[in-house]
Amino acid sequence: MTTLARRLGGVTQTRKSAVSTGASVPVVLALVGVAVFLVVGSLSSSIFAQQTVAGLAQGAIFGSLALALVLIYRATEVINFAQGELAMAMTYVGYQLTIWGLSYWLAFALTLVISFIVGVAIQLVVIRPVQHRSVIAVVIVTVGLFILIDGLVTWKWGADLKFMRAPFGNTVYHVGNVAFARQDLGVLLVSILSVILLGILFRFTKLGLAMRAAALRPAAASLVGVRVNWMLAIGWGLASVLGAVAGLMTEPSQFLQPTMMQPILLYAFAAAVLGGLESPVGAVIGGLAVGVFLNLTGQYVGFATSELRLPIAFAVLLIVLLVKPTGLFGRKQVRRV
Amino acid sequence: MGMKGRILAVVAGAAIVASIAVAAASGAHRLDPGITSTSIKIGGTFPLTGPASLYKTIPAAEKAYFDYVNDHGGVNGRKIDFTILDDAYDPSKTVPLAQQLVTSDKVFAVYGSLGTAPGLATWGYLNQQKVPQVQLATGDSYWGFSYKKYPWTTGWQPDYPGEAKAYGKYIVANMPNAKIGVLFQNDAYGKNYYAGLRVGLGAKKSNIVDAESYDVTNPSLTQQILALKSKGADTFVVFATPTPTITALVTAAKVGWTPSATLINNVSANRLFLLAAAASGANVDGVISTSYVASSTTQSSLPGVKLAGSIIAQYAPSLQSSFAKGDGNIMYGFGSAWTLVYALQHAGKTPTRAGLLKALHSLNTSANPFVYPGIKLQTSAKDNFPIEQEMMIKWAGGATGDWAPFGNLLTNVR
Repeated sequence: MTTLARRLGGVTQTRKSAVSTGASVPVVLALVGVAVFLVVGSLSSSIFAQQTVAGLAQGAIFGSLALALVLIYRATEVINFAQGELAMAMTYVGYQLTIWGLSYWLAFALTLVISFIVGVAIQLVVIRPVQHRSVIAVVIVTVGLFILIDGLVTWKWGADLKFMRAPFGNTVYHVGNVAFARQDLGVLLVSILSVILLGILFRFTKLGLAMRAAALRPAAASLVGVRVNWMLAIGWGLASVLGAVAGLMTEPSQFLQPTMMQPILLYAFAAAVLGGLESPVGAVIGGLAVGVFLNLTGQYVGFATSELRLPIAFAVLLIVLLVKPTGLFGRKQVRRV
Repeated sequence: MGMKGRILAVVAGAAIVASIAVAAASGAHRLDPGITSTSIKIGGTFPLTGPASLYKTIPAAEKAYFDYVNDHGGVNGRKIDFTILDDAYDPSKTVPLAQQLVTSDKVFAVYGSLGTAPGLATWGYLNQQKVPQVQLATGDSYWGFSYKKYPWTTGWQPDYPGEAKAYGKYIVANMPNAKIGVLFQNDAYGKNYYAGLRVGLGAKKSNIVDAESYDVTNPSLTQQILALKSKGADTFVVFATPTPTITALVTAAKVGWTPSATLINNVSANRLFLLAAAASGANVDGVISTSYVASSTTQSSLPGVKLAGSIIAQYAPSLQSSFAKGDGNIMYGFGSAWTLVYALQHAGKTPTRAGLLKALHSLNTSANPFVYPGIKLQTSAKDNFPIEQEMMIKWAGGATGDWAPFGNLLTNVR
């Protein structure tokens, strides 16, 4: 069994089996409660509404990147520390395409294609050779990738601030006292749309089924003809695409610079853990929650100054994890070694 | 004493005379490190890469000016040999590079090094080695106030708290009922600015309705800007580095906040940044800041700007497009380099390190063609702030606009 799993590219020799589903009733009820609270608050206070919308737009970006982390975690069982830098590099690719004269959305689409290829290539060239050694080996490779990508981007494009054309224009809509930036709404829409498309891919296509199988039961999947290694590579490709979306959606507010995704990655980690590291839905909801939570505490909690905002966010995260160690949507796993 | 003894005495006497003569001769010609009869070696650390690399046009302009001076006779016949090292704005890299400049490059002076933290990381070492650390490119007031403890260190530009004080006084005089909302970077840089503003506002500091800080790790400024908006602020004061300043202006427009006045600090008031902010939707018209260098766009007929243009064309053509767009860092580099050449010319026929410091501590000239017209470089034994004047400037013309000066030169900016 051991050699078979190894030969077939199985990630681990453990057997995973779902014991409980992620979305338990209390969690769903709590989320509905939070949603009601946000709607009521938004209807009664314009600043509350505005902070919430801005938080959702920011949170959608956290969610996209968190989802990328989750995809790779499911496939390779490591956190990809280079995820943010990869997203940043892909944003530079998009920038370069617009410099060469492509329209924004054409460059956007082409960037996603390039991201997919780059993601697959990274898995095949640098991850696969160390994949079966140990988790630590893969983690070290991703840290190396982080440094390598950062260096390459700075070498090619320099570290000074660069600007892309605003993809959604600079229009601001006013609904009563609340101002909604078209850009925030656009970011929210694009991020959520990419997540939904990915969800459809996983749930309703044969490829998605094969990928889920390869991630969950590599040995069994390969026995029924799934090319496990390719599925893992495609997983990296899709994660890279999601990262590119997150990067391109970050650019209008943070602009282009090599460090642009580092703070985002930090919050994406938090979002992924909050959602339960293995749950795509959890990652997205975790991202939205972190985004809104940061904005509302900054507005209404007097002592949540900029020094304390991050610690407070992580303290809440810690409490959630103490109550529900697997995250909001995580599944408990039993491993038989 | 026999014949033999006499000869010995003569020889001994001659030897003593000769050795004294040699000693005297070498005393007369003993030069400080980095100085020869034909050259003066200087060097500095700059962020050519990394997050602050937008400042890399400063050393490029300085180098161009030194090349120009060298081709026109140098400093009393000596050519300036300027070594530019890249510390990426990382103090841990600045330290070994400063040691390299002193011990292996053997520079006469460390000149123009950029950044507060890199400056603070190296001033102990350089002062202990008695190596001049002159004209640091940062507006923190440490250099101006600490000349007794750190006699080998000097700054150049106006200091940040003084600039903020000037904004406070301006608000008191022109908008006494302003409801002020402040956004500041949560570190020594931003806090020093904020403290200066409160001093300048005096009793009117109660007009500050909200002060929001941000960390450089904040992924967005929306929360802070919305908070300022919700507290009813109508006057927006930003004490930030360039990127967050652009973000703040863009975000204010995005959340539909239109304060009646916006003030940003000089460091972020480079024309290139305002153009970028405007292109991303910020309302830049009416934004107020200060300047102490001539503008390469609106003051193109000034002799200094013309000279800078011709020097760039000949010695640093890569700077031409930024210069044409009004990159204030280029004029900064010229103004600073001019000051060093001026000080070297006044540091004795054969400049010494002590002579250079003495010259920088007794500046008194209005001849710098690259600073804002009318600004005088002035220092004394008790005053180590070379530039203490600034011009208030206001933006007009939106996404294709520019700064225009208004009012009189501010004085005593410190």
